[in-house]
Amino acid sequence: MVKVPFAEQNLPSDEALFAQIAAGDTQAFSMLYDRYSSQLFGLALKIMQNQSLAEDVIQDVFMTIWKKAGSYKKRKGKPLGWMMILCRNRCIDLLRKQQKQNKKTSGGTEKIDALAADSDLPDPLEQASVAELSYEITKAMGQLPPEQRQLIDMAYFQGFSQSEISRTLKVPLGTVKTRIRLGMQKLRDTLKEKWNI
Amino acid sequence: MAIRPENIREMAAAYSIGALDLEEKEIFERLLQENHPIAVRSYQEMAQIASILPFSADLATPPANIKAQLLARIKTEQDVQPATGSKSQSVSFPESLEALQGEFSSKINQWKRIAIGLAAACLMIAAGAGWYINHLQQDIQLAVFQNSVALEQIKQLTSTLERKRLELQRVRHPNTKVYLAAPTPDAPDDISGKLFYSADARAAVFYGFNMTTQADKDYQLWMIREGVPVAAGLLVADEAGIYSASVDQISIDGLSAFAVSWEEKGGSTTRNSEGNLVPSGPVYLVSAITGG
Repeated sequence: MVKVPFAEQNLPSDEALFAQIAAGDTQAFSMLYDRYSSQLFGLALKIMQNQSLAEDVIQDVFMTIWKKAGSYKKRKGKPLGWMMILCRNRCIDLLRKQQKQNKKTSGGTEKIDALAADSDLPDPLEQASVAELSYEITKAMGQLPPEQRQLIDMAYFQGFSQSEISRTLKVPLGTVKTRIRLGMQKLRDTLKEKWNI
Repeated sequence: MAIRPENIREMAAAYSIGALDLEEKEIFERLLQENHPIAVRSYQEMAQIASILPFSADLATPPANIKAQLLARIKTEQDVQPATGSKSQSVSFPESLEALQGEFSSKINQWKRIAIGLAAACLMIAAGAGWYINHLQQDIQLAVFQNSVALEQIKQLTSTLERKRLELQRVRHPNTKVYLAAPTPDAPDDISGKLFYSADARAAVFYGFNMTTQADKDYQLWMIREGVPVAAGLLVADEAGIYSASVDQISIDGLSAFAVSWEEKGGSTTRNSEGNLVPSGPVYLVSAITGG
């Protein structure tokens, strides 16, 4: 599947929509919502495992987009990548709040955020369509050993830290660390082969 | 302490998916801030993968009302703020669900703090009031006590006044004669006395001077009638330290002298063979009456 830029479809790019939203264009907002709400809602549903809470998260995420579209910077990566991370972080924060935990997901400093955006490594979102990305990552996750997949899932989609995973699964901390590293490395090896990333 | 490259890569993988514990997170972020080459590269590689993980979620269409609600909220916001075409001046609107929850939480916490503060203030006021009431009660008790002392003093003064009045009355009788009292060899130094005696009035007043005071002792006045002492009362000291005792309705038959003895508190209890009280302590002053 080949990624066809929006521009070639006579559709505004994500960046253009962001700029219009920053100017108060509700039409642009509506277009962005139609474009990615299913993606974001699906992610929220996967993490929250609750329809009502997922709806709350989506409302929150899109209101944030409405308010912060003007402060979005390219250094934060592609708009969709930024929105997905925003959605994931909102979900994890809400999960932790429900568990009465005080810790929040926090990005690193601006410098650390820029490290990823300034990387010379290609952005997967530039390499493939969303559908392809979705297909390939799901397949790659499915190919991971179950113990590695479980740990990455617990960390990324449920907000567990390594020590929390260790305590929950009664697995030595060292083993948790190793499995996460191996799992992420394996994902990278699989996708690198696919997209030369 | 140098961190091994494999540990750094391990941290990078966990950091990219938010799984690092706080301590290691701080260490890794410090490495990134310092542009540690292995840390930076590892992070970039892992962040690249982490950025795709969300796409493993299945697509799901949100309910239609979500979009409508969002647009309605945006419209409300736009109606309030001036039509400048920008959102630079926006009404205070919860930025996010989290902010909304945080706002409510913060308001609840604020009210909790106010309630706790009020409760603490009430307790302090109650404690203060309790202390004040207790203090007031103490003051009242003190005032009552002082009042009772004052009343006692007034009573004593009144008694003294009356006594003095009587003494004066007896002393000022036209036929009153004054007799000096002679100290005996047992008497302390400087002790002296005066007797004011009126045979016509059948009254006498004895004044003692320079008489030492002792709490467990009393000076007792005696009339000497045909050589036999007859108890005539205890001397009482006034504010100036002058002791006095007055007697009236005296039977003057055979009366020859007055004497003062130094007795146990309350006066002598010693009796002679006839059962009459006699001095048990030393006699200090004697005032002979001559010439009737």
